[in-house]
Amino acid sequence: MRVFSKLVLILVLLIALGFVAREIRKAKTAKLSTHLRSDENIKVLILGDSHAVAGIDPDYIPDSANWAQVGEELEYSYYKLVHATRAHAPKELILSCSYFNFLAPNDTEWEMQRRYHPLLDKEFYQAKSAFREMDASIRYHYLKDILMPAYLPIGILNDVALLYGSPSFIGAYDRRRGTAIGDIRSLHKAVSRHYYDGNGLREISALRVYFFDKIISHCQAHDIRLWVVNTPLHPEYTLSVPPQISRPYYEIIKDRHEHFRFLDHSSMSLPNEMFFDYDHLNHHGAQLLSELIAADLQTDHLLP
Amino acid sequence: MIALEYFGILIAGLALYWAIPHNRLRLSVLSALSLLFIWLLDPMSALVVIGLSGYTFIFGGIIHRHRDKPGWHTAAVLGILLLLVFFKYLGMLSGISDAFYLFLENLPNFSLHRLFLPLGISYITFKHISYLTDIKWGMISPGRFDDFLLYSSFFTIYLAGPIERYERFAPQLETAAKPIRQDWHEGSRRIAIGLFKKLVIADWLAYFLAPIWKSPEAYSAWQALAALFAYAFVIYYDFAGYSDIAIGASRLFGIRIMENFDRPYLAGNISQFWRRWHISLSDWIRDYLFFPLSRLSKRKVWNIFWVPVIAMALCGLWHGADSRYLVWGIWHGLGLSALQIYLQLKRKAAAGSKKRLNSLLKWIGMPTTLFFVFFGWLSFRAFGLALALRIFGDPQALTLIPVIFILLIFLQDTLQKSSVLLAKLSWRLEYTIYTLILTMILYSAVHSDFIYAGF
Repeated sequence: MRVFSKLVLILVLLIALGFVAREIRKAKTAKLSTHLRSDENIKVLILGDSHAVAGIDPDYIPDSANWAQVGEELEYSYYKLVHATRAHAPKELILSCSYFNFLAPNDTEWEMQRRYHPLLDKEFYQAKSAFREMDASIRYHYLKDILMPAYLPIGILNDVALLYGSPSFIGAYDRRRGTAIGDIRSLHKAVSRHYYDGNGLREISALRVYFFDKIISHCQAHDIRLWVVNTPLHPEYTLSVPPQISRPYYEIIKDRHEHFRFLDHSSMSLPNEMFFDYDHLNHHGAQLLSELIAADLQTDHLLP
Repeated sequence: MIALEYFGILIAGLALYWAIPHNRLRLSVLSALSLLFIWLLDPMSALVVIGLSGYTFIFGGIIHRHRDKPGWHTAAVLGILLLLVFFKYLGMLSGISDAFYLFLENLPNFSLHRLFLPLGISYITFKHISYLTDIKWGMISPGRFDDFLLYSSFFTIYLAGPIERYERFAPQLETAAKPIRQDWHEGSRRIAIGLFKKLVIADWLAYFLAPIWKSPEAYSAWQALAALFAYAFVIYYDFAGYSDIAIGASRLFGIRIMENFDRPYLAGNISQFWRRWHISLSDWIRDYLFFPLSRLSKRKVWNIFWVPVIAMALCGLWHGADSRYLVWGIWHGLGLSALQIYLQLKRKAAAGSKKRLNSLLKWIGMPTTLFFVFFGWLSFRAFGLALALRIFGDPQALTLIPVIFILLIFLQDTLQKSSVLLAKLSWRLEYTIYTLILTMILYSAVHSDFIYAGF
């Protein structure tokens, strides 16, 4: 009986802790959603991962906003696009999409859920399940959505853990300075993280291709012109991209390319001083790329 | 393994299994459910299990009839090993093929990694080799095919062991009766404890450690050292948790599976550690690798140095086709070899004159073993080298190591006594329910894959 009463006490304390954590998260999310409703006039929306964060400066593209976020994957870009369309009705979407953006997740789901969970819907979880990419952290959030009304205290420590770190799903252009070209370890780290996991080469994710198609369909349905950009990469990085990855990447793009403008700047010859590291531009490189994109938007001219 | 498939089959299986009155039919249903479980996870693996079981069973019969002809056993074991090499270790060549590919663009786009890796291949091949060898040694008879198929595919222990022996498994099938209250109690207790170990302890520890293991240079040396020590507990609670679930789930079917862990980090020497850590694998290595290798030569250097090193190197490679596992295995082999040398010297020395030394070694045995095993994990885990450089490249951490060592000397007695007391703790059924509730409330949603299910 003594054990039981102690357990009940612990339970009550834990539930209270979980409740407080959830309320704090809710408040944080509410603050975030004001970003989506801002009065800014966004005609050109920039989405994608760190390649867009570091490489596309909205100052050079009129009426644009860079909402790209580090590590953002295509499925999450899709949901951001859906919410951005409701709030701002953009006319152009610039989406960064590099060789690894179609690959299966690599230990990032917890972070992604921390950021994007407020934007997601039931279809997201169903797709994750259908494509067998439902990991424990995604399942937790899905369960929580179902159980939230009943407030069953399942996995409440996760809510406490989720309080740490930035939950921002809206990113921004990051003016990066200097260059790390020459630090060969950073090249190896990036290539390893982007293309390999514990079992060797990462595989193409059918789910990511599915959400890429959904981005295309959404743009068509809402009369948004889509620009897919493969941002400039250092030649040493490009050489390290496994052909087993780059080949299907170009096949996916080729199969759909009549629906969007594809700006393949990955092999653009740039001096080292324009790279922040082997796969990101610094502010000099970003200026050049942004001016090129702005010119393309103006002329609607497809680069070779 | 903590997946809908596992617990879905467990619940449906228990209901069906105990509803069927006829023992043979019950076992057939359990075989079918086990194959269904494997098929749900990977249909090709189910075919491999059936095919390999047929192969091993046929050879088992031949070996039984021709025990005077060792060639049959050698051929059968080689066949199984070839299969293991084909599926698991050809991937090692993928790096070479990738490099080749860069030069010869016209080669077909072919990756050896993706040939096809059947689930649980390492475990099933070891079970089959032990089956064939035990027949050769006259310890068992081939038995019935349906029993052997169940032994090969039994879903509770299929993915990551324990590597049960047919010798212990088969007799239980013959006598399988309705489970007694004790089986339900013990089975559910082990499952609840296993879930708690895995989902609460191992997964939360892993969550906090992951950033340090990935980028140790961003953390202080003592944090890197703490990450190494904590990882030792992550891998222990992860695997011990899995084993508890597997043993508990088997017990619900009335089948007792061998234990896999016995407080390994409290072992007094490295040999003791291997009698307490992944017991089913170390028993296998001892019986089917260590002893046969020892019989090849009577030379001391062979038995004291080469046999432990070779056996443990192979044990390391069993975990995966990666040099880090090989280094980890050799590290343990060298440890076992050093212990053998020490024991030889001890035997030679006069007991009286070495009494003080013996007593000192008794005191430092446990902390030394613990440090030896913990540093071994540096090689086992990816990014270990970076973490090692962080720890050993900083005098701060190096001064901390002796402090922890001395602390352990003084604490070891208390730790031993507490672990014995904990083991003797009487467990009531309601504690199982409390543990399950606590697990549901506290579980971590970040890491879910069992480390050893990947081997």
